[in-house]
Amino acid sequence: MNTRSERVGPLEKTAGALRLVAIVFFVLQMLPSAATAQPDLEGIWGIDPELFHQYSEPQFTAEGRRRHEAYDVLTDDPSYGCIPSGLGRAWDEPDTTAKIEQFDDRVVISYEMFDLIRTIELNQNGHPIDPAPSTVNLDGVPIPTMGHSIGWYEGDRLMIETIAYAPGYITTLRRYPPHSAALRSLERIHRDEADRLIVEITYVDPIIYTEPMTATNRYYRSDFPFTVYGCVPSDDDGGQH
Amino acid sequence: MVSKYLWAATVFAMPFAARAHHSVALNFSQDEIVLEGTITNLRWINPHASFVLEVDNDDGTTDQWLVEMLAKIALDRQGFNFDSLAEGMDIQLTGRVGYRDFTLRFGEAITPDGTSVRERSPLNQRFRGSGAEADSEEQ
Repeated sequence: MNTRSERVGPLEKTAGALRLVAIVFFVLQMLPSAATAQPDLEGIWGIDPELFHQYSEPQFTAEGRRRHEAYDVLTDDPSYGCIPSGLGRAWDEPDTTAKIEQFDDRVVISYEMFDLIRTIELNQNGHPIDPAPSTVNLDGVPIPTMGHSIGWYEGDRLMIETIAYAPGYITTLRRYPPHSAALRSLERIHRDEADRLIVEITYVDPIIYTEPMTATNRYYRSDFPFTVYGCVPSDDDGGQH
Repeated sequence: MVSKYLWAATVFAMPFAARAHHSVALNFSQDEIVLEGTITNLRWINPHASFVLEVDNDDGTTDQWLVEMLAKIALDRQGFNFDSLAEGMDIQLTGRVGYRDFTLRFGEAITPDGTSVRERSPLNQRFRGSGAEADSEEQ
């Protein structure tokens, strides 16, 4: 008895395969959003101690060096008032998590530390003329040291550009590099093949640095739930700090 | 109560949980001391848990040391026993001297029954045994 496969010759098989390829190609063409889908970065992320706080060596201008050397660790760290000193400080925190939520028109990054909520509008036609801080705390108080951010997707990366920073310090962990109001930062955020979040940041500040400074942190999906931090400023702590 | 410092020494890099909302390395020296005193003003809060250690001196005066610990959230995530320290408890405390007067970074407390109380970063807890070392004196 003849079977179906015995009745189909090599030529027919090739033609069938080509038809299948054509159909798949057609379907992909009909679904452009699927072919260029934004990366899924959502989740609660905790810092990876094996790769964090990877800052390049800052190359200071004379003014940058002056501000850096003027930093007084006992009085100049706004963390005592539950305020991040800058963008890097929010990403660098080792004991708390960051939560990413993606929407069609915006990305919301919530930092557990200091209960920060950062809303990044997507696909904007540049920054507004008079930008307001993109980050607020749970009480809705704007955080100007975090600047104003806009974002877009490039391939598997979320890109975030931030300007309009209030002068501060990119981070107060390690080397407390300062930043001026001229700071412009670009974050590139993606997931690697091991489902870890990679955050690469380039800081450009011609007042403070002669060359861009870069920073890289890696994050794991956190084992901990995202919680309310409930920071108590040091001034409320009996003035003892 | 035994007073003052039992001893003071420059530390050998002891891997205290070097995690905080600010830089431990920038706020505390490497000089380690041991005090005996009584816990008061215990506060389990963020960004730092803290207490005051009242230390009676031989001359009849009392020093008040502000002892800084990890954030409450960090202690909680590493499974810290919040009942292990209490106001009114007499302890022997080892810690790193801060650059502010009478400030100390918590290292180890020995309670009246001899129990050792330490803290560790939840990162260390998570990566214990993996070969990764999360402590950094630069933090």
